[in-house]
Amino acid sequence: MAYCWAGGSHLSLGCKHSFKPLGRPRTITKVDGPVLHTIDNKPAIEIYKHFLDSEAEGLKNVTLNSHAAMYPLGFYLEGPRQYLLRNIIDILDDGSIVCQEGVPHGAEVHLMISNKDSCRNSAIEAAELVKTSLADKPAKLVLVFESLARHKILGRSAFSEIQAIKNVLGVTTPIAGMCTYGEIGPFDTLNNIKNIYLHNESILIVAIS
Amino acid sequence: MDTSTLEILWVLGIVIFVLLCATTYLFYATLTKEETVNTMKEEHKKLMRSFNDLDEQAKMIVRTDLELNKIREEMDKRLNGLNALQRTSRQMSQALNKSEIFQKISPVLFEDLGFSRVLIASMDDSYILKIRLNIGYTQTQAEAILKEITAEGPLKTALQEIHSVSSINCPGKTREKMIHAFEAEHFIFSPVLTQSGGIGFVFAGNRYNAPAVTQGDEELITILAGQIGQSIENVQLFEKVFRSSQELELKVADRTKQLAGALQKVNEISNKKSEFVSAVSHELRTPLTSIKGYAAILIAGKIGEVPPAVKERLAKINSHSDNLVSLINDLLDIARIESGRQEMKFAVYKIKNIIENVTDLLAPQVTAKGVKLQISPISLEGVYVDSSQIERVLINLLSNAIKFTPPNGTITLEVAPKLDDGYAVFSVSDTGIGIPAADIQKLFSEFFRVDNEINQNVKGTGLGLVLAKNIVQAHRGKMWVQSQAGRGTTFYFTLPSSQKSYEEHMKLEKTNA
Repeated sequence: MAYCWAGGSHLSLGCKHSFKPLGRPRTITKVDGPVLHTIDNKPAIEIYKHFLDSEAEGLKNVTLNSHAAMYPLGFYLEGPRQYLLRNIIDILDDGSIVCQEGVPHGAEVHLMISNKDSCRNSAIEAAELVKTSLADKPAKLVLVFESLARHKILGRSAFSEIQAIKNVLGVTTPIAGMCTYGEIGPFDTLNNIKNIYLHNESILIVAIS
Repeated sequence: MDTSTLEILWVLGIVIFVLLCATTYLFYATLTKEETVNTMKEEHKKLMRSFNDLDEQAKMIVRTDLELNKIREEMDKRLNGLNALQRTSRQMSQALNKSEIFQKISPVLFEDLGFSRVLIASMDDSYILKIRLNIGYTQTQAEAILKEITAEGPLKTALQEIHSVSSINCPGKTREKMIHAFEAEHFIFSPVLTQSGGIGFVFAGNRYNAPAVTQGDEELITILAGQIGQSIENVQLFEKVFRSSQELELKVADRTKQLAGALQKVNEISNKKSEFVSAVSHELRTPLTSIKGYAAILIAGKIGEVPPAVKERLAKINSHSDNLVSLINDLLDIARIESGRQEMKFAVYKIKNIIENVTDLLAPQVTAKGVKLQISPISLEGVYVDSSQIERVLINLLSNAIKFTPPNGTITLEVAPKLDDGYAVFSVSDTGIGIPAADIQKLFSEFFRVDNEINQNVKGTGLGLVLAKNIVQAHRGKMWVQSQAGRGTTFYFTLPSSQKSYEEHMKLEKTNA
């Protein structure tokens, strides 16, 4: 998908996810790029085994398995004071978890959880952030980049989310977008543009005015 | 003790005091710290317990969430399946032949239901199982499966059952056979039933690594199989109705042809009869004229005086000859009109004039019988007729009315305003003796005379009404009668009010023919 526009335009952005941490904090003890070897000095998969029990077996070698999408890992980042989400894409034989992107060593990690309401609310929050940064200027075009995994959570009510965004940014504003496997951008708004991350399971709304 | 010793003692005293204070403080401080450490240890323990509790709670939340998600997924799947099934069912019910039913079953339906291997088969007209839909098998594989199903064994039994079987409820032996035959570990096998019994099956399954089928899946496939059976029955019924309606049409066409032939024959015979009647009448008239002429000469005494007794007989010959002439004339007219040889002189005539002519002519008879002739006000101006013929019709009907109405009775002549088709309705009513219901049908048959006292005493030919009806029909009109014995009779007939309505009727008659 490609967008092309010209002229003096103002760009606004809102990026949010809907997940909340579960259980006690754990610490990453060994990590090698995107491969998470140990958490609290135990094989990384133990965190999933602890919560999902036998269901954790299904996580192996399945891209965007529904359990992986429902319960991603969340790493607490001291800087932005937010949880950075990571989908797991594979489990190695030694119990290491392969994520989509690198994770910080020594970071606090949680299993994360969300539900339909919180998912829809995060879309509204992202849209509100865009609206605030647009000030009074009306949006000419709204682009929505949304994680495919969120669709698994929303299920049949996925379209109600688009309606919620429209309700915030204008029902008649043209809206386009796509489902993604990862979203690249800052936390929350363009004010944090200096720190760009690859997000998972998030919604990223861009408005051009 | 010198001063220096005292000073040293003082200093020592102070040092000891300071040391004592410091020791006391340290001792006290150590005590306090240990207490704090103990408290903190307790706090830490509590915190760790809370963390662990939190973890356990989180575990419970995740398990509940997992369960809910599973239910939701199953429900979504079921809803999608139901939706797809409903769409398919609707389309299937519109099918008009068997092959169309199976064309309406889209492979997408099974994708929505989550099956990768599907085989649907039904019997053809010679009761041989034929594959109708095949997803995930090669042609050879599918044929091998059919062979195995039709061979004696648990599979054939399953085909003849009225219930579905699936990998979750199937008895061990049948299950093994199914898995082996269809190469699918998870499966649903549902027979297609009609009122005449099992006529096929729907198989839906998945290979070894797929999730197991559920009760819901089985219900959906059973519904689909039921729907197929229902649609096949509908199609059979439709075909039956269609065939019988075609047979009926053929029969009707055949009968119509036969009738048309018969009608033509009847017409031919009728024409021949008319020709015969007309020829015979013509031949009869010549000798009758001579008889009448000679009788007249004899009565007049031109050949010599005749005795009164002979004169009386001659007068009878004369009057009987007159009757015969009028009978022959009527017969001739009927024959002429029926064969279409009588040319009608159509023109627009004033109704009032026609009626006046007729009533003038009949006035002596009315007076003699002592009945009242009543003409209702006529709003219609003219009619498009042959006036001399219509006068004959009116004379005929009015004479009959006078004949059958007792003295002081009333005869009414009415002309109703024209109908939608542009024809006016004339009616002649009397308060006479009426006609028995059984005779009304025969009234317009030639030579028919109602058997009553008046007719026994008054002479008549039984041709008058036939002639009148023929004249009206030559105007494309209709004549009918209503009567109640003892109360009176009303004759109705219709006549065109204009040339346009007459021609329209002609056209309509031709189209109907």
